[in-house]
Amino acid sequence: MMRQFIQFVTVMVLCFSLSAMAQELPSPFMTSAFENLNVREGPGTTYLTAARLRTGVQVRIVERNSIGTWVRVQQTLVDGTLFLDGWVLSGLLTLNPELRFSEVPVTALPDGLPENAESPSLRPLYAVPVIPAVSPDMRAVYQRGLEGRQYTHVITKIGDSVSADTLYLTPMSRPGADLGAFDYLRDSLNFFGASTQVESVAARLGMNSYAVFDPMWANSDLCQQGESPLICELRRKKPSVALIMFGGNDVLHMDDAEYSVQIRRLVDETLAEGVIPVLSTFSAHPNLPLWGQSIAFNTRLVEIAAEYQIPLINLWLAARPLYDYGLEADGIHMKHWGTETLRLDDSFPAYSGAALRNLLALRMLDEIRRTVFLDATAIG
Amino acid sequence: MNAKMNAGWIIGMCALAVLLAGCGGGEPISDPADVAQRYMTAKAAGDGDTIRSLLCAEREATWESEAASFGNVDARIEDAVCTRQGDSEIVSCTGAIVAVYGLDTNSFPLASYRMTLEDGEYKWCGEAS
Repeated sequence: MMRQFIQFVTVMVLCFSLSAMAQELPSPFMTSAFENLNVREGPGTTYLTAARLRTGVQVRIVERNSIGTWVRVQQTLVDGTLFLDGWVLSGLLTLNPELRFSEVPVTALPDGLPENAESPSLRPLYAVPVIPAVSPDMRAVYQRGLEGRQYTHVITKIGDSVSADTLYLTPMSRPGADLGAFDYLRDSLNFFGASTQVESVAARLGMNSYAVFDPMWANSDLCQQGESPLICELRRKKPSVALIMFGGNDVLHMDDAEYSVQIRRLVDETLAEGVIPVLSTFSAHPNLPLWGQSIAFNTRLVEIAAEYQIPLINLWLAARPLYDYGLEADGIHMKHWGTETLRLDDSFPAYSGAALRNLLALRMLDEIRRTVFLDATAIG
Repeated sequence: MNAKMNAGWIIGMCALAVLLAGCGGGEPISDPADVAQRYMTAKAAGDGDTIRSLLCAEREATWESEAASFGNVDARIEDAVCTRQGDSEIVSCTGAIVAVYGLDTNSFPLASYRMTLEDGEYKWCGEAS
């Protein structure tokens, strides 16, 4: 009897000790929201709202989308019953500094449900993922680039003032750039980061998808006479990947048919140089007059990417849950909060359009590096 | 008879005038320096009709692109002076297209351009190499 009592006391002491240790060392998967959030049935705004998560309530992260911008959280009651289970934006959570998204399982749920779109015209934009799988066709482009002595680890950007922004991509070149929970992107950051230091002559303020072919817009100190900014940039930098985004400005002066012609030309000329073109939809505000036109432009981008089998970052979809859709008051430029713009998990200051766009670019590059590059560890 | 002679004289003079005008057809109606300057002014203004009328046949397909290139900025031409290089088909221009985008102003210097003579008119045909 006495022996049983001692065993019981020992077990109890052990349990209490473990419990105390658990309290001292909270699991990195535990988190809380820093403002009241909608909890959805899946990783996107087209999924139904299932519940509300109140500020400060402790929940456990059990799953994430392919990027880490949405996480599935669960709240379990003391008696072990599941009280809350659904998806929230990771950018609105206070994440444990020890959390590593590489340790969080990735869901198979799609980013959007077209059937739940607010209007039929939006369905094509909800139907494509934020970051797609890269087509095997891109391997042939990459091979052609290697034959043309393209540098595997070099990337560039092509676009208007939204891309010329000095906080777009260039933070990737900072030594020791902090990725927070997005640790799984570290290898790709190291692989491509340094190349983002070099300014692009094909990303300029006021440039549109016509001007990128106009030699007058080329930097006369760096480009050859009669050379367009696009060809000049591809010649001097010899990148393996070009991140292309026009639209926010073009929509003010062009129709979607003209835009489509220009984007096709951009894709054709980039592919011809053995460079993988990565298109991107652009964010748009539904309350602005050119909303309909923006949707038409973005839909053309989706069609062109599908036709050419080239990667497309669906920034439009990813920016839907952001305040003002991640945009400044002008409805064109991505909003900044500070200068640490490589991640979306550093509480409110990081929860901006600029941070999201950098994160998606890095995630897309990661996908390309892992699936297309033959020797993804090679440098130079 | 007199009336017939007068009519013949008038017709003859007209034919001579036409012939002389034809002989003088070797001289271009337009000045290449003036065409280049008008072209660059139209480009800054996004004036598609003028651009189309001044573009050489070889570059006709690019008129829309040329007209829209400064479409996203508030552009104007400043201090433009164009001069023909001797009797060549090259025109050198100084001055610039000044483009304002938001709070930023960028200057796009004018350069030397190739002009071609087509049907008695000089046409703008891109930057000279």
